[in-house]
Amino acid sequence: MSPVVRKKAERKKLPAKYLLLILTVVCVGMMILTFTGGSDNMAAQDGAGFVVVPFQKGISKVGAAFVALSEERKSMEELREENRELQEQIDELERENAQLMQDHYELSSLRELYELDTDYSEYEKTGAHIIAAGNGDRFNSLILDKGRDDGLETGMNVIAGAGLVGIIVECGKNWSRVNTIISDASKVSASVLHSQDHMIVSGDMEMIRQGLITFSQLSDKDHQVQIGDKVVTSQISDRYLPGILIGNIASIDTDSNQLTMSGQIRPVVDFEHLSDVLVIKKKKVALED
Amino acid sequence: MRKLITGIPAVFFLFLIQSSVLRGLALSGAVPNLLLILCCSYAYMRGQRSGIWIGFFSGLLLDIFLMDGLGTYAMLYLYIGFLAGLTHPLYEARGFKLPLLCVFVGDIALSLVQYLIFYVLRGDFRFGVYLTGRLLPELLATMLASVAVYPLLLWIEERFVNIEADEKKKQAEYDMAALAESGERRED
Repeated sequence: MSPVVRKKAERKKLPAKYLLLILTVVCVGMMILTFTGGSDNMAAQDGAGFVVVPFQKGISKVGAAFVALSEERKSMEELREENRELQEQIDELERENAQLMQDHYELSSLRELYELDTDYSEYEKTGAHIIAAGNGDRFNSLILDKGRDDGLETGMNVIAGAGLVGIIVECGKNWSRVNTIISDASKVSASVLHSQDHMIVSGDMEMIRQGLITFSQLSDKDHQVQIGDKVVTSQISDRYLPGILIGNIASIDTDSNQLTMSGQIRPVVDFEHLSDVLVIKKKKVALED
Repeated sequence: MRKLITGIPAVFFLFLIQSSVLRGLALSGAVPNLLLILCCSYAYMRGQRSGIWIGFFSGLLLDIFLMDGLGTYAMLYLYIGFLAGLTHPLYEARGFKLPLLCVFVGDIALSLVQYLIFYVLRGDFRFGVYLTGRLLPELLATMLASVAVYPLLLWIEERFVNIEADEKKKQAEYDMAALAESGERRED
C-alpha cells in the first residue's frame, strides 16, 4: 500500500526541467522589465534591504572592532616612525597653509568681485558607513547604510576625505549602492587643475592592482601637464560636481595619434581602507536650476 | 520543511559573509564565491530542484545589491544549480571530490560568462589580464573556501536535515544484522 501512496506524492512535485524552464522565463521577464526601464525594482530592493541591511550593519560594526584591535597591536617602533613622518608632514603643511591663507584672502575678494558660487566644501553633506562591497569582479561597488529615507538619491556624488569616491547609482529605502571611480565600468569627465585641460578618467582591471586608475583623451598641445599634477572633476561633466579632487597624475604617454595623451592617475582616496564616506546632497543637474 | 529552514538562512548567511565580512578582500579581487559553493553543495546533496531554487535566490540577492537590473545572476546561478544537480544520484557515496569538482567547473564557467557580459561586450578584450587578475585569484579563494564550507554544510545536512534517511539506513542495518543473527541461529 505505502509504495503506491509515495509514488503519487512524488508525482505532485514539478520535475526539475519544468522548474528550470519556468524560472528561466521569470528571469528573462525580470531582465526585460528592469533593464528596459519599464518598471523599477524598487519593491525587491526595499524588501531585500529590509532583511539584509540590519545584519550588514551589525557585521560591519564587528569588522570595525577587529580592525581597531589589529591597529592597537602596532608596535611602538612603528608608531614612533609614523609619528616622526607625521610631524614632518605637519611642518610642511603649516608652511603650505600660511601660503594658502594668503591666497585665500585674495581669492575671496576676487570671488566677491565675480559673485562666484563657492566650491564643493560648502555643499550640504551627510556621512554614511560602508556596510558591504561587491566582490572583486568588475563591480568595485560599495553599499552604504543610508538610502531614500535619509534624503539620498541616485546621482549624488560620494567623497571621502578630500577625494572623489564615486556616484550613487541605486538607492533603496535604507541602503544605496555607489559605483566607485576605480570600477571598470566607471568613466568620469575630469580636468587638470592648473591648466584646465580635459580628460576622461576610467577604472581599469589591470592598473588597479597597482592602485592606479587610467585617464585618456587628454589634449595638451603645450605640454603643460606634468607628473604629479592634480586632477579634479570637470566643469563639463553632467554627473559630477566640478572641482572635486580625484588624484595626482602618475604617468603620461602620448597616444599613437600624436594628438592626445593618456596615462595613469593615483587616486587620493585609499579605497582599500575605506569605511566612512560623505555624500554630497547636491546633484549636478539640480545645480543648474 | 527542514530543507527550507536550513536553506534560506544559509543563503542569507553566506551572502552576508561574502559581501560584508570579506569585503576587505574585494579590491584584490579574491573574495571566495560562497554562494556558488552553497549552490553546488545543495545541488549535490539534495538534487536538481534544490540546486535550482538555491541558485535562483542566491543570484537574485546578488542582482538586487550589485546589478542595475534583476535577473542576470539569478539565471546564471539557476543553471549552475541545475547542472550541479546532475551529480545528485552519486550522493549516496557522500564523496568530497564531486562537489568540489562542481564548484571548480562552476566558478570557471561563471567567470567566463562574466568576462563575456561585462568585458567583451564593452570592448575590453584583454583576456590574459582578466585571467590572472580576476579569474585565477577568485578560483583559488573559492576552492580554498569550499574545502572548509562544504564539510560544514554536509555535517548540517546529515545531522539535522537528513535524519529520516539516516534512521532508515540504521534501521536497515539493524534489520540486516537481526536477519543474519536469526539465520545463524537457525543454522545452529
